[in-house]
Amino acid sequence: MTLRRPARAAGLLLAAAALGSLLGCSGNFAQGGPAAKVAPAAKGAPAAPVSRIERQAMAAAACSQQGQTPPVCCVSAAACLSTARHPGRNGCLTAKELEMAKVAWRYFENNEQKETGLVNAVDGYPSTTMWDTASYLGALIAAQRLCLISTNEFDRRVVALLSTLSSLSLYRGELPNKVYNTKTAEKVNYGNAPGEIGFSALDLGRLLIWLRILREDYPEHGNAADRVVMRWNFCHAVDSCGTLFGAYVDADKKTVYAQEGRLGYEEYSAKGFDLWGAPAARAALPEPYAVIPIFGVDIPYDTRDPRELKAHNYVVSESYILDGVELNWDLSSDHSDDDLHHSNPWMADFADRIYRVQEARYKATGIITARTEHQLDSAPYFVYDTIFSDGFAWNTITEEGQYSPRFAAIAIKGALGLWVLWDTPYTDLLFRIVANKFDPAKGFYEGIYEDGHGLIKTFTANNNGILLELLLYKVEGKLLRFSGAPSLWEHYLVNERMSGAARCVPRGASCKDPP
Amino acid sequence: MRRWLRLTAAALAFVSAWGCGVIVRGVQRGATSVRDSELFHQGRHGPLSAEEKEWAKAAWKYFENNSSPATGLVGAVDRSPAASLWTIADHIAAMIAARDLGLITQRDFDIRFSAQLQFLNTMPLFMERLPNRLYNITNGSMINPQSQPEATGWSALDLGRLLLWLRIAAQRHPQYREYIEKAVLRWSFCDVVDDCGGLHGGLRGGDSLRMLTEGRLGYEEYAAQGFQAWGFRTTRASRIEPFDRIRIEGVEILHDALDPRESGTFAPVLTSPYTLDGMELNWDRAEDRQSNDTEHTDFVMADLAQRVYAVQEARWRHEHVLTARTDHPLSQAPFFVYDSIFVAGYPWNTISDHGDVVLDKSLVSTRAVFGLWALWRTAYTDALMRSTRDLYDPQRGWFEGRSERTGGYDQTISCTTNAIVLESLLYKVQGKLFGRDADGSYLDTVLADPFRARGRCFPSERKACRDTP
Repeated sequence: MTLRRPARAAGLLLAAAALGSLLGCSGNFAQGGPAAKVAPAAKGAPAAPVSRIERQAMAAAACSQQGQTPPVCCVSAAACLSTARHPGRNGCLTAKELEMAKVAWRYFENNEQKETGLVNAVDGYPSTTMWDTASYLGALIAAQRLCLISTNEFDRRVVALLSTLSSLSLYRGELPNKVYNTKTAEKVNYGNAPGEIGFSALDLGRLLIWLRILREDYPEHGNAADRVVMRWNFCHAVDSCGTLFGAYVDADKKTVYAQEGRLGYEEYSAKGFDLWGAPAARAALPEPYAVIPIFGVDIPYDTRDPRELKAHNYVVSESYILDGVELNWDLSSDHSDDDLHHSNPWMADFADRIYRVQEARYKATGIITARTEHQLDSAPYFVYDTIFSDGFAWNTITEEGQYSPRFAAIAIKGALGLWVLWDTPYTDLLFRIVANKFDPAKGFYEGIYEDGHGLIKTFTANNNGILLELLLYKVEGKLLRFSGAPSLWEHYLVNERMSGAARCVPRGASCKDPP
Repeated sequence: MRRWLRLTAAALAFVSAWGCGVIVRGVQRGATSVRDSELFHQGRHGPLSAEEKEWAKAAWKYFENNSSPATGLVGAVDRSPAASLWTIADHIAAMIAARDLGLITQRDFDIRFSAQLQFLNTMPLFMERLPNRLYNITNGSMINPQSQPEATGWSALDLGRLLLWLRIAAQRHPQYREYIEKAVLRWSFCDVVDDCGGLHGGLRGGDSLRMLTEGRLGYEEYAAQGFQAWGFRTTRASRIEPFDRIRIEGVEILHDALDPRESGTFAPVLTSPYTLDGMELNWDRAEDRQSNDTEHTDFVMADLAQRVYAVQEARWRHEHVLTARTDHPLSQAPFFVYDSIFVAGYPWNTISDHGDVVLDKSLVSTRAVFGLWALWRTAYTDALMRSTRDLYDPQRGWFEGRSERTGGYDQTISCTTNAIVLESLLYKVQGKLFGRDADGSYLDTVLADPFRARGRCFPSERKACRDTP
C-alpha cells in the first residue's frame, strides 16, 4: 500500500517554508468563539441532519455576526454546534488540535517538489505512490478548509499536482505505475531507479476517492480531476464481475494481473472505483471471511489463505478508519447528508469491532493499542502491525511475512483515527499519548513503539495527511459530500458507452460466474 | 448405584418391547444389541465381523514381519532398524490385542512378551537413569535419529505411553507383573517428573544435558496418565492451561497457548492423543478403577475429545472433505508431519516438525480413522471407514492413509498405525482397556522397605511441590 522505503536520502531538500498569511477567521473558530454565538439548537436536542447548504448559510451568518465577509474556510465554523451530527468527535478544533494540524501541515510544506507538485511519501526522499498522493490531496483539502493555507496557495498546489497527474507516464499505457520519482515524475521502482513495476488497484482506489472529493467540493478543479482519470484504462484493473486486480512484472518481464486486496482495504478501494462508474461489486463484498474471537470480540478476517497465496490477510485499523471519515461507512451511491446512518452497515459493524478489540486489549493487558500498517526508521522500514494476520492475533509482520514483534507500535494515525471516530475515555487516553509526538519543524512522528524503545523517528505523507483529514472530519463529518454539479466525467462515460468502452469504463460485459 | 438404575430401566424397556411370546433367537439378538448399545459403551461394541478379523490379521502381520529375533524389539517403520519406547508400547498393545482377539496362542504371546521383558530389564540406559529415545532393534544399543550409536536423551511422552501399557499388561497378565516392576525399578524418575508434577524430556547437546518441557495440550495429558498409573502425581502436566480457543466450523477448539513464533515449538491439535486416551482409559482418571464406560471421570479430556471429533465431522458435513487428522510418518519428504486440526495459527494446517507448511501432504490417516471409528459409532465414522477399510497389504500391514489431495495411498507402514488398528479392534470387543490392579506386589514391597530405598524419586520418596502449583 504505502511506500516501503529501502533507503533514505541524506539531504533534506525542502522548499522554503514560507507559509502565506493565514486567513483571519481561523483564530475565531479555533477558540470556539463563533460557536457560542451561532449555536441555535437547544442542548440535548436530538441530532438533526444539517445539509452542506445549511451549514454554509449558518457559517455566513456566523461570519457576518463577526463583521467579516464569509471566506470559504468559515464553513468550518458552522460545525460548532453542541449536538452530534456524525459519529465520534464533533465540533470546532481546540487550540491544541489546531496546533497539531499546523504541525502536520509542516510535513507538506517541507516535502512538496515544486517541479512536479508531488509530495515525497517519506521525509526528504523523492519518491511517492498513488496512495500517498491521495493522502496528500486529503491533507491539502483539509489544510484549506481548516484555514491553514490561503485559497491562493491551495489553488497553486492543486493545479501543480493535477497537471502532473494528468501527464504522468502510465504503466504500459494503462494506469499509474506503483511508484514515481517526485522530482521528475518518472516511473520508478521501490529503489527509486527508473523503471515500471506495475500498478496497485488499492492505491488507485484511494486516489479515486480523493479526486472525487476534490471534484465535489471544488467544482473549479473538477475538470482537471476528471481529465486525470479520463486517461486511465480500467480493462485490467476491474473485471466484469467487479474484482480488483493489480499488476506486477514477473521474472520474464511479463505483466501479471493478480487479484488485489483483502478484507478492509479491498472494500474501501472498491468504493473508489464505484464512484467513477467502474463498479467493483465483488471486491465490495466482505466475503470470503471468517471471524476469530480476540478478547471476546469476534474479529473478521479474510480467509484467502496466506499459506497458499502471497498476500497477507492483515486486519488493521487504517482501512476502517478511512472508510469511516471519508465515506461514513456508507455505500458509494449514498448521497444522504445524515451521517448518523450508515448505508454500508457491515462495514460500520466491523469497524466498531476493530475499535472494541483494541480497547479490550488495553483493558485486559494494559497495553495501549492502536494498530495499523506503518513505516519504520530502520530496516525492514515497513510493517503490517496488525490486530490479526496470518493466523495470529496481534501479529506484526514485514512485507515478506517475517514475524517482527519489536516493531509493534501505537501508530499516530491509528490512535487519532480511533479518537476521532469513537468518543470514549480510551480514545481520550490515545489522544493524550500521541498529541505531542511531533517535531515542530517536520511534522508528526510515525508512532511509539509498544516495547518502550521510543518513537519511530520517521515522517510520512500518509501519517501526516491522514492526521489532517481526521481533524477535518471532526469539524465537518463525512468528507465526501455530493454537490450535484454537472461533470465532464459523466459526459465522458456516456460517450465511452456509446463508442464501445475501449477503456472498459464502465464494463459492458456481464459477469459470467455466479456473483 | 447409578449404573444399576440404568440397567434396570433398560431391562424393563426391553421386556415390554418384546413381550413373552417371542422366539429365543430373537430374544438373544435383542439382548446382545442392548448389551452392545451405547447405553453401556462409548462407540462401537461387539464381536468382530469377518472383515474386521481380516483387518486384525493384516495389522498383526506387521509385528510378525518386523520383530528382531535377537532383542524382541519391533522397528518403528516397516524394515527400519530403530525403535523408541513408544514403539515398545505399541508392540505390547499389539501383543495383548493379538492374544485376546485369538490371532496368537498363549505360547506365542509368552515367547514374545518374555523377550520384551528381558530387553527392558537389560537395556542400556541414558546416563544410567532412563531409557534412551531410540534403540537399535538388532543389537539393543542406544542410537541417535541417524541410527548411529549415541545416547541422546529421553522422551517423557514415549515413557508415559510405555508406563501405561506396562501397567495394562501387568493387570491383564499378572504372571509377568513382577518382571515388569523390576524393569520400572531400574529407572530414576527424578528428572522426568518434578515434584510439582511437570514432565520433562532430556536432550544431550555436546557435554551438557538440556531439560525441556515436553508435550503440549493433548499428548502431555495423555502421557501424564501413564505416570499416574504408577502413582506419580502429574498435577502440572495434567492441567490443560495455558490454552487458547478458536472456533473452527462452528466448533470451539482448545489449543495450547504456546506461541510457536516465540518458542519455535509447535503445539498441534491432533486426533491421536484423545483417541488413545479414550480407548485405553475411557477418558477416566488413571486412579479411577470403578466407573462404567459411559461415564468419563476425566471429563475435561472427554470434552476435548468430543470437540476434536465434532470439528472433523463438521468439516465433512460443510465442505465434504473426509477428515481424520493426526501426526504420522510419510513415505516422502518431509517424512513426518503434524497433520493438524489446528497448528501455527491455521485450521487444517499440515506442517513438518520444523514448521514448514506442506498442505499437499495431509492424509485421511488410518490411525486416526480407527480411533474415531472405535469411539464414535456415527454415520461420519462409517464414511471414514469406507474410505480406509481396504488400505492394507495382507502380507505387510496397514498403510498410513489416503492422501487428502490426490486420493492415492501413502505407502508407509508403521508400527504405531498397526498397533492402533489392533487396539481399536480390541476396544470394540472389550471396551476400556485399562483394568484393575490386584493388591500387593514386588514394587510395593521394595518401596516399603527403607533398607532398599532407591533414591530414584518414586512416588513415596516425593517432596511437596515448592512453588505454587
